[in-house]
Amino acid sequence: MKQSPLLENMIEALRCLPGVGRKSAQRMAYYLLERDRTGGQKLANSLAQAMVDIQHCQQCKNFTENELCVVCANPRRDHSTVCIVESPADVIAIESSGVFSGVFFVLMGHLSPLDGIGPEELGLEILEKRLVSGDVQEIIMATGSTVEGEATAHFIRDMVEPYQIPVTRIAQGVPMGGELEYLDANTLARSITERRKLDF
Amino acid sequence: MTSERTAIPLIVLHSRPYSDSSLIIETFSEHQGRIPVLSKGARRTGKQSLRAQLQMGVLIEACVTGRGEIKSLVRPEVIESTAGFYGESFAMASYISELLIKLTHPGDPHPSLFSKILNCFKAISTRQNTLLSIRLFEQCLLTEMGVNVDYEQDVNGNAIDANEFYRLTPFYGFECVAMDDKNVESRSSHVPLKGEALLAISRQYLSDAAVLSTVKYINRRLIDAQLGTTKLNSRELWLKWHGRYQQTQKASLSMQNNKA
Repeated sequence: MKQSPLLENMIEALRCLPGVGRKSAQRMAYYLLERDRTGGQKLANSLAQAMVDIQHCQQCKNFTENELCVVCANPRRDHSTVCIVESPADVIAIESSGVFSGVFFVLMGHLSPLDGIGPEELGLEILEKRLVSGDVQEIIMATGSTVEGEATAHFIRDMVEPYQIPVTRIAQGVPMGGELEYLDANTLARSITERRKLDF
Repeated sequence: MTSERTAIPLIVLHSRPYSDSSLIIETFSEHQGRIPVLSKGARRTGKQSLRAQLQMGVLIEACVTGRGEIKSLVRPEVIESTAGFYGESFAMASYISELLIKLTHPGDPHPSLFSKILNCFKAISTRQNTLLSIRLFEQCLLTEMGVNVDYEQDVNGNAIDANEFYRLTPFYGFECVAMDDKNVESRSSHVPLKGEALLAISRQYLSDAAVLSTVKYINRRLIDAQLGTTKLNSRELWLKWHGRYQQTQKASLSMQNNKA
């Protein structure tokens, strides 16, 4: 059945969300119109404002409405240690661990030539500017443990090498609460090749 | 066609996120060629071990079900893993995957390619006989696409002479050229090829570096002709990586010299 043009537009607009097909979009639209108009209005205003005002942080590329994000603007953070991650969600994950007090650089992806993502798309020239400034003392590579994540880490390591800044990689292996018999062979192999001395 | 419930060996070429929790994986099978498959829920929390199996270059065994264009991947198990692709190896492995994705059609059987792809990924990850394996893969891919170059006869039907020079015209073959022909030398796309190297290629004597370099040139021109206007992103990445590596070496050297 043909819907009214406004409703049709709303359903089409909601379909831009990941994993939302026509049926789900229709359900969301009806829900907002029937039961939560205030919520819908709030969503519309928030979306309109965010789409205009939210940009990338000039230092780390994370999302922010200011020139610098809250992490980069915080003088109490250790600006000499830069942790490189693939996405803003990774920043949240590392922040929630509570052990990192440095700053971040968000690649917004990883090298994937088959998807058309090369070094330019990752904004590595912004990172290089920070390296040139001489303030960075350590780079922590926290890209994913995938073929693409490893390749991205290696590319950045090659880029950082002339600046003689130590590059470290987050440890990889057995997760907390993990039982060896349920681990995949690759993870187990890596945990054995990258084993460390029991010195605690 | 293989029964839907029979597990078949598949080489993982590439995986990319699909919707909130799934992955679309480009795979290559021995008898059905390239098969794009959907691994439902592979990106969910707790599915790390499944994602670890679905990395480029890994040989898995799995059932492929469904009738649509993109089938479902069921119960994948690793048969053979790779040692990983680090540095330039990643660009090389991506090149193999990109060629297969851009030049073969889903479902077209290419049984002779299967072992070549496996050997190539293995050689790239272990860094042993890498260039030779890539050249053999390229030759096999070109043959599977119906590109057959006669390395023993030129376009006029004359036998290739070891002492003469030839130029390659894709879709036609080799044409004898006189080395003093200035037009030939001025056109960079028509690099004269030594007859001796062409004869070595026809006999598959590829151990010599000069012959391997000639194979690289020929394969590249033939592949480019097949690709048309389509670019190879992995080739660009390799060039950038290589350029970056050379820059790094130069910068390190100058820093060492400055310190000295």
